[in-house]
Amino acid sequence: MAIIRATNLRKVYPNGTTGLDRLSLEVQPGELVGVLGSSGAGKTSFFRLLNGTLRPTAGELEVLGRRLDQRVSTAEMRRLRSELALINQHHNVIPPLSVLQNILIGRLGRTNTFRALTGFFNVRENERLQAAEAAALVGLAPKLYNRAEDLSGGQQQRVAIARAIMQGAKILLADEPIASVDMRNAALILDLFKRVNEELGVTVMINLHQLDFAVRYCPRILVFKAGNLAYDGSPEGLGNFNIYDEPPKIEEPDALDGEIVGQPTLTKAAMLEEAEMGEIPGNRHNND
Amino acid sequence: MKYRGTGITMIESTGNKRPVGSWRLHVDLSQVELPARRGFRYSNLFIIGAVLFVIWFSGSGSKVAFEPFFDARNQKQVANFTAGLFPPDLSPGFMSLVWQLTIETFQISVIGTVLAIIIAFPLSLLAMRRRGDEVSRAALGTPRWLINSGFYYATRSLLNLARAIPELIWALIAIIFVGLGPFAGVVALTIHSAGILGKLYAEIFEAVDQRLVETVRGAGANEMQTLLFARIPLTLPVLLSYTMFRWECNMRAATVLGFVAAGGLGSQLRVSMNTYNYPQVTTLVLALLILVTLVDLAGQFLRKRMLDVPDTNCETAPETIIVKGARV
Repeated sequence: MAIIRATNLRKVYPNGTTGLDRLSLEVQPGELVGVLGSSGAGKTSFFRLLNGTLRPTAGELEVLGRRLDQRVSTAEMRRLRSELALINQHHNVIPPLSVLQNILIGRLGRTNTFRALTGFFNVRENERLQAAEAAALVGLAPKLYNRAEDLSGGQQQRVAIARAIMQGAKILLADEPIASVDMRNAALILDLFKRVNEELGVTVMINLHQLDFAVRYCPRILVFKAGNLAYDGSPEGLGNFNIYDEPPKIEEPDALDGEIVGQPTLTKAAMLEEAEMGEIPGNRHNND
Repeated sequence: MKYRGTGITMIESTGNKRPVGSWRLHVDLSQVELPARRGFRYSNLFIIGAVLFVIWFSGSGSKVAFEPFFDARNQKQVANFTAGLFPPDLSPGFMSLVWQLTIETFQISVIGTVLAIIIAFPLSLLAMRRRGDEVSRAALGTPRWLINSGFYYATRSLLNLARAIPELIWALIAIIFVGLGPFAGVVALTIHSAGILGKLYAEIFEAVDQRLVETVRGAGANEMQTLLFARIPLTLPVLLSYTMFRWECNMRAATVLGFVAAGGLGSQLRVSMNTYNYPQVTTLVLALLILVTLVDLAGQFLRKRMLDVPDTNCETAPETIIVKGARV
């Protein structure tokens, strides 16, 4: 029984942009899936559809046995969301609240409004302990009473992971969680996702731009291209598969000397070439 | 030095006189397709013309004139009036009366503001427009949506009505119900301020970063919980700031209300002015000035307390250690 099932899923935004185009895929419980693809390929659209922030234009989407369509009620949506955690690249924490309160937000889906009203000021002891444990698991126990805005980007990501644990989520979606953190923190965060997946049995889907991390951590890789699935399989099978929408353009070296060649394009090959040459325009200021 | 690979050749500027880091991009723009520049919209001229007309129209209607300021007779009258204001009446008998009245004005403004907050807060929730794909598209036309937008327009109209009618008129209406006295002033302040605060609260809550609201909603929170855990904490300093400002306005309004509804500094101000006792007027105005300044100081103190957090960032254990075997 698949935990996530999409059949011919389509999402067209009000401005006419196509986010997803006839996407079909299945994810089994307990999987750790890496999602690759260039920006605009539909990765974020897919996560936001799973989370119910967006509703599909056409096709079927089934999450945790519930069908998500235009008619799903608010109450039903709330029950689903309490079992599904979404971690974004930014905007994961409410800055003025403490780390503890941010983690406790994970419990809201299972708390009635009246309890939340009093619970905001008077946290139950068992919930405080649970939140502390979740914070300890992500290594943030010493910062439990700090305001979330005092934390670094990587630490805020970990608060979001702690919240997902607090939530008791069955599915964890992470949308480019390591796009703006350094390598050491990125490895730390991905280690956490792996632990959450292996030890707690949570199904994890991670959007990544770093191919090497995806290959290292995820047993299953999906590649999105132009709103559709272009690759689904093991990282080994990925081989030389081009994960980007357009093939990298390689300019002829002669044409580059002095004269402009068509419209300026920054290709992956060009970026690699730059890195090898060690000449990045920003560094020029220091050399003068 | 050339920068290769982007299709753009960068050539360093010649000559040593140029500032460090000065570049000249050698781009042949004839090869690049640039989007069409947005032209001047002639409808702007119409708007500018309309604004100028309204200003001229208002100036002519309100009989703006500068001559009276330079009229020698008027100047002499003003000088006499100003001289009559001093020295202020500081006799013990009058001072004790002023003290009593100042306290009464303070009390009217506090209760008027507190009641206004209590009424404005729930109304602001109904007058708040919810945003997002989920709300605007999926729910369109459902009974829930109809109820929500019905409440929205009903509350907005109610708030507009409360705001459009000035405190003074509300006070006259309130006198019919509760009679002369400070309470009529309280009722007037409550209704008018509720109209203003309700609208302000609603718009402040609407303006909260939608992505943060979605983060909390995404954890399964309902609208009420979203309010408690996202909208209110994110806007607390602004809410406080506007509310304090409203309190300050109410302090002044409470004085003016004294002219019609009795109670507070305003009632005595009217008596003193009608009896041409200008030293007393000076004392009363000074009392009001001190009161407003104190409210301002109190507001500053509260805002500072709310924004300044003691630095808890010192001496933390190595954060990268993951506690093994933590029970979840």
